[in-house]
Amino acid sequence: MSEPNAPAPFYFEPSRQSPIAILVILAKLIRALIGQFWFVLVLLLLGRRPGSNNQFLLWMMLAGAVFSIGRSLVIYFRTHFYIQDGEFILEKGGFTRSRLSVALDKIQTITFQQTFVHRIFNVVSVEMDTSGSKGSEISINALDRKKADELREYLLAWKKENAAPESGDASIPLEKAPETTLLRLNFGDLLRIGLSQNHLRSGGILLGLAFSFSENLEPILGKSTFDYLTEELGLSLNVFWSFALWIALFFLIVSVFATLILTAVRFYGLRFVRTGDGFRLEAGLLTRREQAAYLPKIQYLRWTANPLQRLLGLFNLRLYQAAGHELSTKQTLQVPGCYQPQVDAVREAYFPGAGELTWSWYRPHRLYFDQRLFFIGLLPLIGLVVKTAIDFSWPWLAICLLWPPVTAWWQWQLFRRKRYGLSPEGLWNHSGFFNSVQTLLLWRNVQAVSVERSLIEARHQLVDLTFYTASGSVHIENIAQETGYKLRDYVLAKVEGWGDNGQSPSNRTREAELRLSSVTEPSREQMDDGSWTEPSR
Amino acid sequence: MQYCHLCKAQKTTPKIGFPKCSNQYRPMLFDNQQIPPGELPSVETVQFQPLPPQALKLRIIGWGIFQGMLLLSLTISWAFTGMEWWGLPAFAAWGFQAAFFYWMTHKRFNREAYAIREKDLIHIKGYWQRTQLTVPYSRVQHVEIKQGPIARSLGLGSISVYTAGSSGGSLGISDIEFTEAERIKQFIAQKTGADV
Repeated sequence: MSEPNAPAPFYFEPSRQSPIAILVILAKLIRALIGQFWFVLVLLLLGRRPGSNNQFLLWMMLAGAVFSIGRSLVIYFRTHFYIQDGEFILEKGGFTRSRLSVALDKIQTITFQQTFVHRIFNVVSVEMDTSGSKGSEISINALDRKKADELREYLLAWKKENAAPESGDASIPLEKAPETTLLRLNFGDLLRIGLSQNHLRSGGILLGLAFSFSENLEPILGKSTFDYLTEELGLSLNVFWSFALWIALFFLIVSVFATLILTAVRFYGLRFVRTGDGFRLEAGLLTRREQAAYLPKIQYLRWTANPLQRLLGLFNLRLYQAAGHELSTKQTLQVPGCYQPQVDAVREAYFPGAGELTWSWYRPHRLYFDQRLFFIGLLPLIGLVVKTAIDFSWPWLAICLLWPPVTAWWQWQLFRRKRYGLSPEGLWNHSGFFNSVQTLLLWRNVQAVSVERSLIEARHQLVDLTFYTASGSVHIENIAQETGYKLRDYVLAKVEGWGDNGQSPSNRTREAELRLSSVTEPSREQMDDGSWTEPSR
Repeated sequence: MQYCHLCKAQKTTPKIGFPKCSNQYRPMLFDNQQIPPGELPSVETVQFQPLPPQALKLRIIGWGIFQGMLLLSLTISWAFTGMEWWGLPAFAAWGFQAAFFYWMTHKRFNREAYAIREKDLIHIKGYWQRTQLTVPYSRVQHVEIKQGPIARSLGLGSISVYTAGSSGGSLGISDIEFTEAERIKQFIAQKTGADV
C-alpha cells in the first residue's frame, strides 16, 4: 500500500480532524442548544419580558456561546483517530472521554458527506458503519478531502486483502437457480387481504377518537354529550344506544374501506419470488418497491393470522433480516396473503427439515397466566370500580361485572396457546389467541442471550430468556429455571462453536442433542388439548 | 430422494448428510455428533468478578449529586412559594426516596458482576429483576471504553460491547477499573481477531 521509505501514512499515528471541525462541532452544539432553549429565544424576541430579564437572558446566551466555543475546542483537541493492530480507533470526549475500537473487517460502509461549510473548505465528514446496534459508530466531523480519500483507499484495500474465507455468514457463493414465483396477488386476493385485516382495532381507534371528541364538546354544550342528546334533543335511552350502534357501524365501515384502499396501494401487483439466494418481493401501486431477502441474512421468520384470516387460510408472513441501525425496519419483508404452501416454502428454505423434526414442546408456567391476570384483569378493575363508585352509571357497572370473567377467559386462552418448541437447531414459538403468531428462529442467528428473573419468578424457580438477533429479539417466558439454564448453555455452545467467520463447523461445533430429561415432554395430543402443563418446581 | 436445498447435492445416506456440500446451510439435522449434555460449558459454574469498591464510592457520589440537586430545587420551590405547609411532607418524601435509593445503590452494587470466559463475556445485574446477559466474542461488532471526570479520579471506566442489530443485545459494564476495561478490550480484540 505504501512504499518502504515513504513516511508512514497519517492514519497510523493519532491524527486530529481538520481545524474546520471546530466550526462543524460549534454549529452542532449551537443547533442542539437552540433545539433545547428555543422557547427562551422566542420569549426574548417577542419582548414579553421586562428589560432586566432580557438582559439576564442575553447574559445567559452569551454564557452559552462561550461554553459552546470552549467545548468545541476541547472536543477538537481531544479527538484523535488512528489505525492500530487491525482496528480503527477513535478517541474523543469533553468531560467524558471515550475510546471506540472497531475491527477493520467489521466496517460495512464508509460515507463522505459535505455540507455547505464542508464544501467551502474542501473537507468532508466521514462516517463509518458496522452492523452494530448504534447509529454511525465512527463519525469524523471534518477531514481534508485528500486525507479522507487516502483513508478510504486504505480501508478498502485492507478489506480486499483480508476478505473472510468462504463459508462465512454472508459470503457463501450460492449457485444461481431459476426464479420461482411463490405468490402473485390479483385484485380478488387484495380484496380478501384488505377485508381480513383487523378492522375491529382500527374501528375501535376511530370510535375512541369519537368519544374523545364528544368529551371535548362538553365545555361547549355545558353538559355531557349524552345528557345533551337525551335532554335537549329528547332522545330516549334506547334511541341513544341505537344511535351509538349506528355510529359504531359507520366507523367500522369507514375503517374497512380505509384499510382496503391502503392495502391495495401498498400491495398492488405483489409478486413474491424465490430466487437462487433468497427471496424477492415486488409490490406497490404509486411507488413500486422491490425488496430482497438474502437467505443467510434472514434472522427469523414470523407468520400471523387473525380469526378471519384463519378462516380463509391466510397468513401474514414477515422475514426479519440483519441490517444496520437505520435500515432495520426497511429490511423486514412483509408478505400478506400467503397460504400454507408459501409459508412452508419459506420455512423450508430458512430452516430445512423444520416440519419433519421432532420438537420438544414446553409451556410457560401457570405464573404467566396469574401475572397477566393481575396486570390486565385486576389492576384496571380497581380503576373501574373506583370510577363506578364515584360516578355511578349502569353501563360502567356492567363493564365492572364483565371485566373479570372476560379478561380471565382471554388470558387463559392466551396461556393455553403459548408454547415453545425446542430442537437442536432452533426455536419455534406459538402464541396469540385472537391473532395467532408463530416465530421460527435458528440458533445460529443468535447474537446474545439474556436470562431474566424477577423476584416472583425466583420464588417459583422460573426464568425468562431473550435471544437477540441482528434484527430484533425472540422471547421465552416463565419456563423452569433448570430448563432455561440448560437451553442458554446449549445455545451459547452452539453459537460459539459455529462462529460466524469461516471456521469449519466440524472441528468447532459442540453439538449435542437437546435432551432436557428432567422435564416431562408432552405428547402432541396433550399439547393440542391443553391438558399438559410443565411441572412446577 | 432428498437434495441439499442450496448446492443441490443429492443426499446419500441419512446419517452423514450431504458429503460433497461445503455449504454451512446444508441441513444440519443429520450430522450431529452427540456429546453428553453434562459436557457443555455451564454459566452456573463460572466464578463472577464483583465490581471494585471504588465503584460503590462513585455511585454514591452520583447519588449524592442527584439527590443534592433534587433537594436544592425542592428548597428553592418551597422558599419561593412562601414556605407553605406542603414543605414538610415534600421534604419527608424526599428523605424517604433518598434513603430508598441509597439502599438500592448498595443492593445493586452487591449484585452486579461480570465474567470473562474463553468464548464469551457475561454480565449480571439488577436487584428486583435479575438479568444475565452473555455475548459471544464471535458476535462482537465493536467495543467502546468511556471514562467520566469523577470516574477518572477514582481510576474507573466503563466498557460497552456492541453486537449486530438490536440494542438490547449489547453489553455494558459500568464502573470497573479502567485498566481492567482496557484489558478486556484487548482480550476481545484478540479473540475477534483470532476468529477471523
